[in-house]
Amino acid sequence: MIEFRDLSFSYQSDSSQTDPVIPSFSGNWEKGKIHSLIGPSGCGKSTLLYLMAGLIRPTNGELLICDEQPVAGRKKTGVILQNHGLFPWKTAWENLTLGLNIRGEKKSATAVRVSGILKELGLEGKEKSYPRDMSGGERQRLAIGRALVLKPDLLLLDEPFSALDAMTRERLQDSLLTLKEHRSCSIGGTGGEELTIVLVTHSIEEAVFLSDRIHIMDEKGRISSLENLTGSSDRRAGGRLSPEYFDTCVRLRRKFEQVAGGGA
Amino acid sequence: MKKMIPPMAVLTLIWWILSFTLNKPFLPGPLEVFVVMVTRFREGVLPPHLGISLVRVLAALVFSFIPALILGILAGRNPLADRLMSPAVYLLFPIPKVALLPIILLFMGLGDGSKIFFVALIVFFQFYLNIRDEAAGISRQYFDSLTTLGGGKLDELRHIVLPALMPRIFSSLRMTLGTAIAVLFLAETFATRTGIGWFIMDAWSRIAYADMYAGILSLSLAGLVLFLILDLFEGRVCRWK
Repeated sequence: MIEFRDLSFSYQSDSSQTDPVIPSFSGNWEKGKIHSLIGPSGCGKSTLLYLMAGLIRPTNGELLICDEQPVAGRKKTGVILQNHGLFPWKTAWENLTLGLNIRGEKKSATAVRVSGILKELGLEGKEKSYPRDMSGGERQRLAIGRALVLKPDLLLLDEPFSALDAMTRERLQDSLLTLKEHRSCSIGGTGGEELTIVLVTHSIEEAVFLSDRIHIMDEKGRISSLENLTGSSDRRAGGRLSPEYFDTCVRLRRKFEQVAGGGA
Repeated sequence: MKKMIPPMAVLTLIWWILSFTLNKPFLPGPLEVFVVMVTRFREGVLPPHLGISLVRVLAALVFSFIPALILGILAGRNPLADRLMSPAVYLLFPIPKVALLPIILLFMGLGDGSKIFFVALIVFFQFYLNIRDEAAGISRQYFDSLTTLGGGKLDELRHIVLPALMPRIFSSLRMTLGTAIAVLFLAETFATRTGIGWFIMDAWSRIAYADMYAGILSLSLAGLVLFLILDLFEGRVCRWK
């Protein structure tokens, strides 16, 4: 699904910087999984996400999404940037349908799908609300809805739950898992392909709870460890109180400290 | 509108106290001035002067706003355009343009065109700088967000730049409206027999103080109506604020 071939990236405008933000990295991230990218602040997690979104280009090497180089606005990629990226001057409905309008999809043809997404995300009745009138959780759900309404096969999330309180964060994490599971069948009538999610996060607990694969990035941008979690479905069934969940968190924390040389 | 009543009542009261205390012919009371103003309106003396002044102000705002909007967005979003335009603006902006009025009258004649151009020239720079600064300050996250949705340059203008600029545009319009009225007053004291500026100065020269104040009051009330219209439009266009 996402293939990195000797990919490296550096901000060329910064001539004093000799070390690249992301040094040479190769790997293949599986389709249909939730991948978490975890690492200390400023290590290049968001940069890697921007590369996958096609907003910036690799300095060297190649990045392929479904065997193609990513371009910004790729039809099958949904992106949720930090701070949601919602437009404060547009209502919830206008925010949700913006991508569809830009792609020239007819309003009549998409209205059912958009209404379905609103219902799925618990945002019914909020169509005419502006983002400032919505809670942090509602805004985040709206941002997720705006990405899902485009029927993506790849969803890129940059610290989507970091600004939320603990309860809202956990509720939205549950919602994301439910959406991911429903996606294979149908979300708001969207149907379609298996959804791959890449999630940038600071939280070890979040990464463990949500992910099928965890990628740890160290301070120099090296993605040097890949934690393959097994039995994730059991962990989800047991929720956040299961011994397996705690064990995995502890194991990942040790691994993280070993790789990143410190806390998250 | 109800919010306007207390401050207007306070101002009227201060005016009345001053008039009563000074007891001079050059400061008649508010009631006398109001009666004269209504009479001049009924006689059809004030409306043409006020009308032509408002037309000149609105024309000047339109003729300065449109190029300022286009150039301001261009300079705000494009560093090269900013490097080309802004030095010229910085050079011309501090020149006291009031001193240019006689030159403008020589070049453009004594008609409405020269007055509109004069006012437009002065307010253009305020518009331009406001719009440029606001356009430059729009958060990059919106552009990234739109790009990921498949938006291009025209979409950026339509879905980000123009809506993001709207509050600043209304704020600039309010500021420049006050400036435009003040500058127009000056322009109408030169080589013309029309406009509220001329009406006020003519009344002053005839020692018709109540008429003079009636002109000032009508100009002030016209300004108030324009501000209220702007507020109304802003409330509709910027509901999200």
